[in-house]
Amino acid sequence: MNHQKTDADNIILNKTEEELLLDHNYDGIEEFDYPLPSWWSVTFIGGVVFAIFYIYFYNFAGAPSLKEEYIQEMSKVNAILEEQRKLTGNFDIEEYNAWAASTDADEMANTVFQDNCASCHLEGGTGDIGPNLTDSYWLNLKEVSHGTLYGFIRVGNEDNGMPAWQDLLTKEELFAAVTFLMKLKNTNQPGKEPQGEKVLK
Amino acid sequence: MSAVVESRESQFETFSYDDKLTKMFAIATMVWGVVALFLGVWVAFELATYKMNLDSPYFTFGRLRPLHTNAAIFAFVGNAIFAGIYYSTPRLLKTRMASDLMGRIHFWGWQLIIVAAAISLPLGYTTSKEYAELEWPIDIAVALVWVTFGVNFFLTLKQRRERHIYVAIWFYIATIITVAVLYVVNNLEVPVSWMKSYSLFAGVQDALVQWWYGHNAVAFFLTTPFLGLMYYFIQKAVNRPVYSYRLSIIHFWSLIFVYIWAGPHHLLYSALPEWVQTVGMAFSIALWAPSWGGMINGLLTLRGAWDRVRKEPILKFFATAVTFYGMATFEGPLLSIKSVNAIGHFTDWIVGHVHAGTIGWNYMMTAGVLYYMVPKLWKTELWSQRLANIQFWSATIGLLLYIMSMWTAGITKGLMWRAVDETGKLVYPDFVETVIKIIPMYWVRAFGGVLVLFGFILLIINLYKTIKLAPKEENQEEEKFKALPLSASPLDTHGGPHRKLEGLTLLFSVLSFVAIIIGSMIELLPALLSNNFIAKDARVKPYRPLEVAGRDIFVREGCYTCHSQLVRPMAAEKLRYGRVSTAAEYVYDRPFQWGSRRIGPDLMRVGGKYNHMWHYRHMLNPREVTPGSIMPNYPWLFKNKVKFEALTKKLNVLAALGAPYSKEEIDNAPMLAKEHAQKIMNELEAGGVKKKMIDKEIVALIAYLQRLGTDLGGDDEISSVE
Repeated sequence: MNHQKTDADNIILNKTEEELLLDHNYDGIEEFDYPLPSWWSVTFIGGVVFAIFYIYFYNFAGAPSLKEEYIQEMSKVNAILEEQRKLTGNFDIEEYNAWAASTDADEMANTVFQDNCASCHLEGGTGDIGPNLTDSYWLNLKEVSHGTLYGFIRVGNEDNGMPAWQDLLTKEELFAAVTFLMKLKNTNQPGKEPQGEKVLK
Repeated sequence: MSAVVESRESQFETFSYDDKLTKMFAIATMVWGVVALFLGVWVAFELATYKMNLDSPYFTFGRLRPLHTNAAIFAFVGNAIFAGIYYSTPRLLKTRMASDLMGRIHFWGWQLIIVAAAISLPLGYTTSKEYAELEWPIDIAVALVWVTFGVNFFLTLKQRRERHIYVAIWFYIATIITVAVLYVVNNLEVPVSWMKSYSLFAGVQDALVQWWYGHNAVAFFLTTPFLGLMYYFIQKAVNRPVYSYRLSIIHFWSLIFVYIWAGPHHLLYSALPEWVQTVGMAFSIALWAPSWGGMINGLLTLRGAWDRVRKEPILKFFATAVTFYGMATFEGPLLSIKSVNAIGHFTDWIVGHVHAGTIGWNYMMTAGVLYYMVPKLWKTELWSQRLANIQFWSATIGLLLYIMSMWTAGITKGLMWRAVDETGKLVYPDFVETVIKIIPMYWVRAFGGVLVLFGFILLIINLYKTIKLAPKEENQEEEKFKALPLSASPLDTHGGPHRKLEGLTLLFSVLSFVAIIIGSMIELLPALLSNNFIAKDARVKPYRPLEVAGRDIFVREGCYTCHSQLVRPMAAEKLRYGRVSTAAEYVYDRPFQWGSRRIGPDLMRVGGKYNHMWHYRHMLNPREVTPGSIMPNYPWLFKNKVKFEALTKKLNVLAALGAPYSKEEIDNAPMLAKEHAQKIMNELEAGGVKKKMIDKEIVALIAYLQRLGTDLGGDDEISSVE
């Protein structure tokens, strides 16, 4: 070997290190040959074993796929949503009246409208992206009552951008939106041009 | 005896090092470092307050963020790698680099590429593939310059005077080979014009190739070359032998073999076939120990020198860098566990993770290398140890603020997205709520970034002074060195098979190539060659001409930097966005637009969700329809005209790539697009928009957004997921 010991002035700590020093020298860099730390070897082998087991488990041993897990998760959520839709599905005017008589109904009506509706219908409901709600013209309703408004807000109309709110709002919140709209209608405030048919009732 | 000595004396060959080239790269590292870090701080503030977008196309997040990542990776880290390699390689091989000229071509070619990137990305010329955004002419330049670098390196290897190659050289070899393969394959694209191309791959395939590249850009641009630098500069700075030679061997080969497989962990829960996701995840866990092998060899080399680590800033930078390398390479496997990924993916946690690597490892290593190398190159002492110490603390504190704020932001956002109450409703149905919540964290992060930048400015002042005060006369001539020729150092046949391999550099290089190509082939080839890789769906149709124009605007503005187009198979995603994505829906997406982050909401199912007027208002001023939104305003989309005439060419290229357009459609593309625009205008005019807007880009963008994710219809029958 042409090991030029002289140009390496590395710090060697003790006798063990001297013995572990290899006959390598690159631009003065030498190398020990310490054995692999045992915890590192365990991690290394563990990682490889895990990888093999994992690939086998998910690709060959019939573990549930992400899609199967999703279907399972979703069927649970769908069952809950079905239940909820049954609860919000039927509009009962007496139930509504009982709610409307509560003290914070008006305040809730305002909050629900500003939080959810105003971004398209504007704060005063005079229309912008969505139609003007203060006139007597309606795009989706032939009759404007508590019941028809409630029903429409629940399912919306995807073709003209009105979302379905049934899975986003609670029954009380749907009531609140109806309250606000019933107050707005036919107040004829200046805003977006009328859209849809004039509704007399 | 004396005769032997004399004959050996006469055999000695004289050589010198081309340190001028190293100096050039070192200075370029400092210059681009400031630029890259400044851009990072800028885009960080853009998320804290949208006003930093300046209402200007050239300064929006969507265009500056790619510039920041490209500048950080290729300009800052790239130049640092080259400086370190050109310094250490000749010294480890006892020879001058093979060609001074190739070195100059490499240097000036690389700087020109960076300048081209700095101009073209803000102008909106982008392929939108992360860390590979540069358009095709610049891609070709990158490939040519890289090959020049590679040829120069391998010729140097050939003319070495040291028989066996040191571990640093192993890592350089793996870097040069793999980056060439990655860069070329991921940038295969068909030009439409001088600065516009469509990816050769579409949809799921494009995503797979991109993240094979993206992940391994981290592996073979930010990691392996820096491990090489670590193995040279730490040992030189501390004067201690490497801890374990056999650990070097096993962690080198396992690292390069395993790393290349792990790319699909960027696509967990995506429409990518599940077996690829599973393989990517499994290899990510297996990658932990090989990564830590490097950390151990770095840190344990410092044994017996810890008292010096306390005093010497260079060693502080190195010890911290290796520690952060260990932290980031532990966090990486953690994040690729599916259940952790489900929360972390698309959030700022990933951004924090990346910066633990780039600032913690690359920035700190680069600082250490520069502080070591610059005084040596200019034959002088470092101007101020104190300033270097201040930089160290400033950068470390800044980095900790960065990482911790991003952990908090990411986990908060991830948990808010998936919160569903007992009635089956999302707890935070308004996406913007989840954004507003983490804005304080964006301020903390930006401030952390300022500290990191401030530290780097101190480094520049320090090294500028160092260079300025260096003795002029000693820097006139290149120092001469002597060594015996290669023939005088025989192959070591007693040190085991690997020792022998270290003397056979060609075989070594070939085996490195084999190690990285196995995983690449197994993961990529089925996707690229098999027609059955993606299930077909006849309902999915190619984009109509105006939608193509709109999509190109979407790509140009870098919308993918904030918005994903991928609904993952999770109940919370279905509730928030709608039907889960399927692979068949993306077959005409060139390039794919899945994105990697949701600073804003997913857009896969945005088509039909709002009316045209909503989008019109929203792009003009997002806060008008979404109070609290941090999205920039896009006023120029309301001024720029759609280039209708270019659509014929675009459809032609897309048809050549497999989109089933009829000849009539292609020939009449401009007319069809105008008819489509008129339909959208009919609704917009009802909302008070002026007629003359018909040929503006906003209309094309609306056309594209309204098309997104609508081909399969609105209903999500669970069975259709199968």
